[in-house]
Amino acid sequence: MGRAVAVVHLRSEVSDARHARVLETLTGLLPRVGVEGRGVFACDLRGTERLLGSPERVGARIVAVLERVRIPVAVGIAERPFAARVLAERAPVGEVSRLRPGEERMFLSRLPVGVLPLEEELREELGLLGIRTVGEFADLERGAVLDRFGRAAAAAHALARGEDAGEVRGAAPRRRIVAKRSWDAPIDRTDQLLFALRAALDDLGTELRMDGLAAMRLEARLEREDAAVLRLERLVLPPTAEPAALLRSLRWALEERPGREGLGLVTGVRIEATEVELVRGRQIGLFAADAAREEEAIAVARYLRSRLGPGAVLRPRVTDPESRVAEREVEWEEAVS
Amino acid sequence: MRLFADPHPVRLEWEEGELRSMRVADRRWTVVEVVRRWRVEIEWWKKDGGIARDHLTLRTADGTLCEIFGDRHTGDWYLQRLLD
Repeated sequence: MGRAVAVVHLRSEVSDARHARVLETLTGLLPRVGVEGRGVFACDLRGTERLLGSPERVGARIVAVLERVRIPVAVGIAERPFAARVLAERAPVGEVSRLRPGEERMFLSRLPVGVLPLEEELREELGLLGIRTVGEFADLERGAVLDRFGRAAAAAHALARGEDAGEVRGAAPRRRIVAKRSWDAPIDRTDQLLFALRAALDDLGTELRMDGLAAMRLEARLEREDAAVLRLERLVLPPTAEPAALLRSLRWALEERPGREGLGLVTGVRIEATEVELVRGRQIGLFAADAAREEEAIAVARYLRSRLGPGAVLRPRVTDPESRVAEREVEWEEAVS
Repeated sequence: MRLFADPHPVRLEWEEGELRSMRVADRRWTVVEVVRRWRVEIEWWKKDGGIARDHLTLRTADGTLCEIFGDRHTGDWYLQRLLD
């Protein structure tokens, strides 16, 4: 299974108690649950198929479990949270709807532009320009949208085109979980920096474990003597509190940074777990295998490509399975963009 | 199955008409079985003679199953894919 997100949309009365009850139920059923809004929850289904069955089956189970406590919901499943959310909002109560890969843009394109998170004023302006559907908005040139309407509109435009990052956001921890280190002698080599970061990540791991949490997103800010702060952000899949795994994630972030500018003279670091997953009493690792392998494979491919250049990491796409010579069976394409 | 984007040149070692081993770079595999053999000839009407190949699926002493082919125009052999 590739990427799949189930958005659960709470119907009828949305009280604090019912919101909390749905969140608690979903967290008990699934490994990665984010809150999209009041009464709206996004569940990342990557890695769940082996244990829980198809996304539709997971969706049906969510509906059934919540029905037992008389909480009506509808579930939308798509590759990205936004399309899944729009689908869930339109699905009849008690139903599970799914968009197959490749159907999202078509589904969204026919809907009114009002489904996008746009300011009322901008919506009116688009109406005056004759742009009434998501598809018409998506067809506008990306640069022109940013120039004319600004950053928020550009973000909505990315949603319309299915070009947003599309990750389910994890929950922020109840207290800030931060580790800091500073060094008298600046560090200018990646291997030395990684060694030094390990101590900070040991502290972070201890803090996470104290609260029964695993980090799902890390933000590291490297203070530099000779340059601006270098900010790194990483989605950690599977979420973990293990310092070695967190260090590996930061190492990929360092290796992948755009342009791979010199490290500079690093004098300190501040690492924060900005999104977390509750692990106490749950075995989230059981669900993480697929996503973890995918994440690791992409990271390795990016690393090799950054070192060896284009054409080094390829994957075959079968174009003619009947061909009698292998080089005509497949076309080779870049494994990562 | 692992298909190589660029087939690796191999050197075959025969003994009394039997395939005994193959060398890829500096590594040598003992061949214990020729599992399958077939010939491909396509586009023979073209000026360059088209594609004329002898294909063999081999099992080596360490249990590796692989597919090699020999270009009948040049006599060169290549490792095309490894089968799991």
